[in-house]
Amino acid sequence: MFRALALVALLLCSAPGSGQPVPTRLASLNVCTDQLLLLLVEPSRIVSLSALAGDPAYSNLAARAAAVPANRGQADELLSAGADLVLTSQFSGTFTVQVLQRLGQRVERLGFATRIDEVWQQIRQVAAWTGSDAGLLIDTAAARVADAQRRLRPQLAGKTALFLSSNGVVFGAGTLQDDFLQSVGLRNLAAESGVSGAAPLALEILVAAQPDYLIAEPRGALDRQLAHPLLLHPALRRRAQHTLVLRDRWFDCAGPWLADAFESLAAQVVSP
Amino acid sequence: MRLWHLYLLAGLLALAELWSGPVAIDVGAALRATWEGRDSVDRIIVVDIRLPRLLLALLVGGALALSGAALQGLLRNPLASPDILGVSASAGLLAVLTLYFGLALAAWFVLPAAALAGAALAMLLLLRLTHRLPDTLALILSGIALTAGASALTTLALNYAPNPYALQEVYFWMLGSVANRSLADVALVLPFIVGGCLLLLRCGPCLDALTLGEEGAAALGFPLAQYRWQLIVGVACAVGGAVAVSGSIGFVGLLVPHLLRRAAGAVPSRLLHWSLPGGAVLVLLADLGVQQLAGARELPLGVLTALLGAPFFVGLLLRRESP
Repeated sequence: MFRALALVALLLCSAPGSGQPVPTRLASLNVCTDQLLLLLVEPSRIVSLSALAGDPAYSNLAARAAAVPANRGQADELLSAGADLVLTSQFSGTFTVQVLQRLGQRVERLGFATRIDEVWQQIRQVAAWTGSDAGLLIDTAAARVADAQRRLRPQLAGKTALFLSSNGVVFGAGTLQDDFLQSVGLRNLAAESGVSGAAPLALEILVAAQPDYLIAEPRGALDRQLAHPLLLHPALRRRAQHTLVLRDRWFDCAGPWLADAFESLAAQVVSP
Repeated sequence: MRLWHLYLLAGLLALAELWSGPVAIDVGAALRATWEGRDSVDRIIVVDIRLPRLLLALLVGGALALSGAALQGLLRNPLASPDILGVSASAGLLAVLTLYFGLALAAWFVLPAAALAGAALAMLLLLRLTHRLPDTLALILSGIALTAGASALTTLALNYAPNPYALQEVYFWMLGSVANRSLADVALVLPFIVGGCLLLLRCGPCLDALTLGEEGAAALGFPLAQYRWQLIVGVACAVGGAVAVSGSIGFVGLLVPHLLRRAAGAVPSRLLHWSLPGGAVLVLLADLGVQQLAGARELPLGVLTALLGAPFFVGLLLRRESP
């Protein structure tokens, strides 16, 4: 209790001031900033990550997260962790962030990547906040993406595809998935059906659209859903179209794992 | 109005479901394709998407309304219904537990059996209470407490589920829907719902006798204990089956018997027979309604029945206050 109060006082005194020194103790409230921290910063500098960071369904670096204490998004947890920079996304932990900022805690919020170039931009942004160097990492990933795109385009140009996620959600215009599909020459039928952002699409429309490729999580991940995972519905299973398997977690958060998505797609559709 | 009018209406509404949906298709051609064994998009939409939907609306509506009428007869309480007494919420609790902790994948019957067990437990608890409570209103209040308790336990259990979005998903699921189900789902609950409904319909004569009071019914030679068990098992099967496949669609069991009481006459056994098609009509109407109201996400069916049912329930309470 006294420790927490002393900490609050300390934070209040040392609040914004002369420039931004490189933070040494980092924390994160969101699974996306969790992963970028694990990617860019040595684990000894990370004092707290969200509980999802260790869940392989949502985190690409779940194994690395095991060594770092997990938080449940409560302001007091973050304060007692004594971080000097807390990262989160624009959309998560609003109340917690308000409390932390009122107490003088430095919080930076990362946007939501909706295009491939924004993914690299976000990695660069977190590298800047944490005083790390992401240049080589981004160049390597971007080169892997460009190589896969080169191999995929002749095979896929003009064909149609549709991303189907949990609870019948599809990814329309203005999503990373849309940019991903277009960058290899595929037509995104979700966007063409008028969906913008991530929104559920009626099963009938999905069936009538007849995509060449239906893209979804692997079967095992669907077991965690409620009784009626749409992908297992006979109306979709009966169609002749190919079902491709890509992990949601490659697209949910910005990171070099986007290159894994391109390479996995290439491995599934490009004939050797 | 006669009984066959209700069956006709349910049939017509069920047919209308074949034509209702976001994609305009040629239903006639789809049915021909089915007959000739050809595969087509229209055929998939009609047979794999719209047919299971209408079948479930018929089954679930009938099961819920019939259970409501039976409970109202047994408890001689016009406010009784499976959702108000907490029977649906208890069925939902056990169903959700099997869904999120992977038990439902173990065998086909685990999910409906769990829902059935939840419904049966709630029924047993309520019947133990009926004899100790001062009046019928106290029973309704116990049911509401049971509903709140079961919902809270559901939330508590989901807190430990492996899927971190379980709570949001279940919130939508518990509002009740028959959309995006398959014929396999229909086959899964068909034996439970049909069996439960048959048991309940056979309770009719005893419920008629019960209008004379328990001594009266016993004097007429009805083995009351045996009928009570039959009714408990019937409601548990019908409601358990309905909840397992469609979540909790509220107020059907309360509304339908009341809406039909005048047309069916004051005899409980007749009301049972009328509630069966009556519930199907109400749920089909609500399901056609949610398809018209669909925004980005289709409205859960239970939202529409609750919008109709909630003011109706308050009206019933008001009428009780001023005899």
